[in-house]
Amino acid sequence: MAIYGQYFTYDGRTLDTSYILVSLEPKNTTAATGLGRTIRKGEISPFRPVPNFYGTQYSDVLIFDFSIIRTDGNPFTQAETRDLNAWLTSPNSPRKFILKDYGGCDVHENLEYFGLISDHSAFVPDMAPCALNFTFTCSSPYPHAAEEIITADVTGTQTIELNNTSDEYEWDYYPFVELTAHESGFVTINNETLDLGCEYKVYAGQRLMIDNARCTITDSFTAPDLHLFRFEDDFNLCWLRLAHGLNRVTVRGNCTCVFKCRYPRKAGI
Amino acid sequence: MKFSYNRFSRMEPAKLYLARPGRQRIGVLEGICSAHLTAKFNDLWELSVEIDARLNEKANPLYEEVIHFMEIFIENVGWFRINSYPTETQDADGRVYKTFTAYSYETNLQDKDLNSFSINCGTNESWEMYEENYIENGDGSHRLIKNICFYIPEESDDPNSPHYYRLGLINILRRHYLGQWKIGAVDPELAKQTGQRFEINSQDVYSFLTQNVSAAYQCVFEFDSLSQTIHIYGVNSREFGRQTNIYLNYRNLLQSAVIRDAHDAAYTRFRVQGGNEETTIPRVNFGSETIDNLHYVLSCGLVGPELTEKYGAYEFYRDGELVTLNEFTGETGTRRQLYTELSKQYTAFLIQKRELEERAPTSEALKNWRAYSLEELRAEVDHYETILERLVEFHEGTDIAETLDYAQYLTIRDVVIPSILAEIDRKETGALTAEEINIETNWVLYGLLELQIRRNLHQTLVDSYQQSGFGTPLGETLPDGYAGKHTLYLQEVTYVKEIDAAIAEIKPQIEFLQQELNALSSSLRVLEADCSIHHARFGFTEEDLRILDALTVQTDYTDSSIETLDTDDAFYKLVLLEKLYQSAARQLEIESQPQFTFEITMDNLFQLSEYACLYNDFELGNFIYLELQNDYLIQPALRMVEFGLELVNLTNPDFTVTFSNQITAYGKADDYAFLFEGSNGSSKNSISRSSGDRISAAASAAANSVLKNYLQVKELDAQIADIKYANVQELSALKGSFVSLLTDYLKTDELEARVADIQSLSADSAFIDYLNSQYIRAAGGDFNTLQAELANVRTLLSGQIGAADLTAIYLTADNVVIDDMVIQNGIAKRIAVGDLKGDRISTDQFEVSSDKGLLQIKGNTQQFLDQDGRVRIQMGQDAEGNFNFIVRGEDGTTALFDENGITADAVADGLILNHMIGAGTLSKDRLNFPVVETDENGNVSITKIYDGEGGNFGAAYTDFKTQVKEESQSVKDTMGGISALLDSVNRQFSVRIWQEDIETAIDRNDGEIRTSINELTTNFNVQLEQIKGSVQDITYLLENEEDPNSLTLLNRLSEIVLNSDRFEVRFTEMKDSLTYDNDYIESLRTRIVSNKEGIIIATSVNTDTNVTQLHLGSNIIEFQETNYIDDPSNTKSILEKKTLATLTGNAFQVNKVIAKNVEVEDEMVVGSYKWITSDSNHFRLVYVDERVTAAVQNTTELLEFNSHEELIEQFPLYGGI
Repeated sequence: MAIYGQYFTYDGRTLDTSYILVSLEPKNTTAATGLGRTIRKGEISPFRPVPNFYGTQYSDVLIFDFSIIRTDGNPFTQAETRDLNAWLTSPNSPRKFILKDYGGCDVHENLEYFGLISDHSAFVPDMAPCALNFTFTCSSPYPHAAEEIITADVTGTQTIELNNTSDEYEWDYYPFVELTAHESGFVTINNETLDLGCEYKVYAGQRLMIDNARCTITDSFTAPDLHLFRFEDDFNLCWLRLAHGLNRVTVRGNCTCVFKCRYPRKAGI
Repeated sequence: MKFSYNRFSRMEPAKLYLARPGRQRIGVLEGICSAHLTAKFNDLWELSVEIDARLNEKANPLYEEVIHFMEIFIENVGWFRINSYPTETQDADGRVYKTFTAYSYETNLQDKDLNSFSINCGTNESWEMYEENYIENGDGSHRLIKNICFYIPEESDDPNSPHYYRLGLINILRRHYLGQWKIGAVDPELAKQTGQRFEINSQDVYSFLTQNVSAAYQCVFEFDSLSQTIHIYGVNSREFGRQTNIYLNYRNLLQSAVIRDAHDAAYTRFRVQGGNEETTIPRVNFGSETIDNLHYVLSCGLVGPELTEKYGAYEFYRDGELVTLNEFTGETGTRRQLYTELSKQYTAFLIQKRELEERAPTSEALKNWRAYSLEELRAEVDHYETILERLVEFHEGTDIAETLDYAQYLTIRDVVIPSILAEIDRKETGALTAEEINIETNWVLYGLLELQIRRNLHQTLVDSYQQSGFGTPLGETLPDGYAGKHTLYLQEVTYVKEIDAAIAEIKPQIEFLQQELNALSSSLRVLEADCSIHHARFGFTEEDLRILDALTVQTDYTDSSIETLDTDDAFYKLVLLEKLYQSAARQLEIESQPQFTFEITMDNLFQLSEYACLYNDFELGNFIYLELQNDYLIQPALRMVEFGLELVNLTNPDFTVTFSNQITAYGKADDYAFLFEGSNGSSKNSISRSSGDRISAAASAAANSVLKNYLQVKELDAQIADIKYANVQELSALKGSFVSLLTDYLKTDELEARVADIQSLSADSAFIDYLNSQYIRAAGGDFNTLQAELANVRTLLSGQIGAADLTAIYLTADNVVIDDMVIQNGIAKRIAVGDLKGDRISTDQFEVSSDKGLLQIKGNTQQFLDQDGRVRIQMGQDAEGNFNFIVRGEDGTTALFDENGITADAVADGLILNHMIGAGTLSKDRLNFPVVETDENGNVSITKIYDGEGGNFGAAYTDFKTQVKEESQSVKDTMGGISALLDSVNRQFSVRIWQEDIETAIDRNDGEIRTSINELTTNFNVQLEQIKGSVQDITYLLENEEDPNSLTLLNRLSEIVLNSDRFEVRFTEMKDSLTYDNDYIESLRTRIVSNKEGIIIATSVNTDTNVTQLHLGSNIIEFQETNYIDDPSNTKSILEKKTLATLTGNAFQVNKVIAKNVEVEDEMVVGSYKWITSDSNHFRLVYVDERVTAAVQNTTELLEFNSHEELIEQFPLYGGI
């Protein structure tokens, strides 16, 4: 048994200090990282000893186990069990999970996991629940850095630098953009690094929530259901993305742009 | 459609309520394994359900009630009905379940039929024909006040109201056919549309709405089964399908996409034809019947850029570059337009030439005017004068003399009107006879062909008179009756001279026109060559042309909607041909490029709250952006026409979406053809079109015909004077209205029958009723004339006036009393040839000819002429009174068949084939060469045949036969010997072949092999014995010790070397040795001897209980360890025997030596075998005892090699380590 972490925060709630996060594995010398990948490759044949490679895909999302015990070593009461179980197993969609390392360790520092509890058991020597075991299934094969928020109040033209620090070097990152128009007209966001230009026709006061990853744009101009923004007329169907490293992004128009980036991190559990 | 969500935006399984017919819910269905919904645009939705009979060993309470006609309700989705009895399945494992498909509730409209349902047909049963909606004209006919529009939003029950429900199609349906269904939103633009005509014999309401009405009004019906409301949207309404903000790609929801070409094949060339064989496009297509379209195949990289550029230049030259069409006006156009313009000019000259050649009086010239009253005659004069004016107006801008109507014009001007005036004069003066207007000798009425015929006729008479002596007197004796006959002779001579003069006047004109035609023809040919792909200007190489040919896939294209008729004037024909070309070019543009259809599977966004912002937009008919791999965005956005998803078993993530087919042509795409006309499939050799344009073309043709009939109506009185005096512009507008009406009229009917009906203006006149019901639609100004005309048609049909063109009034003995005078004066005196049916017509009185003048029957002679006026076939009695049948060749003079029968010129080489000659009809004297005669049985005597060298063949044959017989016997005898010999050889081969039988054999090095096999075998056996001896040596070494009862087993390393002729076994003594008693040695030896798989190379005994052997197997080297308890000689006491290490091929696997402490049941590593490589060329196999520290560790070397090569050499079976 080893101490896993000091505490964690999940779905906005932090584990009480009367509990501690442990690993019950006696010899926990190997930990799955979620970075296992399936290599997509072609066949080896008598005439082609070097197969064709089509890239990779992650084998699965990150899955890890942890256990909670009381710091005083006593079994959990039913109320405690209910409280912890209900908290951790209620969410139906991935929620943020932040783990505070124990001691001076930095394994989980500045990492955010998103996921759900997918399995659960209890360690019950002498028929008393001394430990609650959870399996946590992340929404991705790796955790992410804390969300970076870069705000640009633009009047005319402004160039900003967005540093894509993602640990996925060969995948572009699609940031979330909140665009609030201060006057009607066109707003363009050009990633000069990638020679990419996104154009939006906006109205004064209009606020667009541009989810470049999911390819959705919601419009909170008036009522939530009233989407004035129309792809057909107001958008050039170009989705903003960032190459790894520094990106020079030029915004033209009269607006406030908030770029939200949560880059992948290949560290932690 | 909205699905069920909980408070946390999670989709919940749908509840399916079972209901009895009439929406009587009886409960929620339990035990549903799956309920898959397929929602479709403008079609019935399908709900496929599987339901178990038992629930946890209890019967499913509603299971038995799931039968046909029961209804299913799904909250927020709709009502469905089970149309047929469910399928029940009983599995082998005892599971019983039903599967059924329920259809959206509008399926009940499929149960209701429209029978004899007519809208805007003008017939009695048509819905607009109610008493308050028409005005009686007083003549039994009716005039409709208002026809039926699509929908009246605020309908009235008052028949006098313009909003009376019977004036709205949808209103009528709702009242009488839609049952509980209500009408919801109706596109306002759609509602006010009027005039679509429907005539349904028997059809269900649902298909009528979604097919007939949907296609006619270009609209879709949305059935909201929850509220039982029907919403109707036109193509231009927002609800018909709107652009959305849904953007699907592989980064968000898309899983897979299937992209197909809707075509079975791609075509790049059409051979184009219209509705008949005469309707082809060479006259508007540089003389070619085919058109090409290689735009797509050239644009997608199938050829190099240079060829693409050349082809582009070629196309631009033909259809892009502007040239002068008219030097006087400066008008410009493409070379194709120039070609068409030249074709038009050619046609114009051809028309003039034909007119000059084929002119003949029209039938009006033969009219008998005596039967007409004075009043009628004067009206006729007015009428024909009007026609003269009209003809001039019709050809405004063109000299009437240059038109094909000139004959009619001349006939009326020079014959008909003078004849009527003469009859008027006769009636007014009381004369017995009227001045006769002779058309026979009015030469201006005839064209060149007729003039030439007539000249021949009259010249024949002149010759006849002359031969009979009635011509110019040659002597003093004149024949009897000379004076009278001479006068006739002189008359005939005059006729011939007049005809010659007429010909002399016409012929130069024809020749001039022919020159013009030749010049134009030449220009056309030049232009054809100029625009040919083979022209050097374009620079296509032979290789280029081969490549283009490889890309050319041809099929036939027939647009039966476009058909040129004989009645069409030449210019109109060209217009139609241009239209045909455009039609084909557009279709080829479609066929030459893939028309992609898209089907996708995607994640069920309705289960993903992150995409909740898309739910409202995800509706059938809406447009969705689809981005495929490599950032390929499909544009324009695709219309979603179907999606399917699971409603109950939400673990099934299947979500499929189908999009409509967008037909792309000239860079634009729409899916109207898919939505309203069904898929536009095509197959090789059968691309055709038959709707839309066809109706329009047919309507146009019918309108022409109808108006032409009106123009030539001769007996309409002053009531129809308006139309007589209508100017050409009015008529043109009238025709436009007519075409519009006809187009609507024809849409829902069988085309051919209707067109025929319209053109004949028959009095059953469904069309007339229709026109009556429709006249309101047309623009008033343009249609007034027609309205008046229709009234007059009514008048005609009511019996007040008879019209030659309206002959289908149905009269019976019961309803008609015909006055005798009517028959005498009204019928008998007016009857003309055209009115006769089945009577005898004297060809002495009537000359029969075809419109083109190529067939002529007169008197006892019938002639067929070619285009140049030459008589090609003549049959009947000639001027000499002889009967003959003459067929002439292309030159018009060479007789192929004359009064003497077929001529030699008619029989071309190779014409007469064997089967044409009668059996047994060819006699010997018809052949110009000697014939070998046979006897009565057809046999030829051999005595009549010579051998080619002067001898008699029969004698030579006898000698030959004898010689052959003798030779044959000789060969036979020889073959018998050979056969026996072969049998012998066969037997020898089959029994045995020994080495010694082969005296001389040649090896592959061309050396002789005599007994080498034996020698080799001997050598082999020697070597084998040596190997055996080597093995025995091993045994001997083990046995041959000083003390026969004990054996010192040396720790020795053995090596086996395979030399060229034997194995060598070598032992290398090790530093330690152990002595064992003989029994133990014996046991070892026994194992050695009994081991048949290999040879023990070395054995070491480390302790009393442990023996390790290095064992060379057939393909493996093993180090075996055998542990003994107490008495190692007792084989039964062996604790364990296991392989410690193996050397297989290049792989040496070391197994740890495990010591087992029996007392504590524990194991520990006591030692291991290791390959120790001190350097790249030195290998040692050692045993390391790991129970002691390294300092005192006893390392036992088992094998050592100083080089890799040495290792390989010593273990050649394994090829090295």
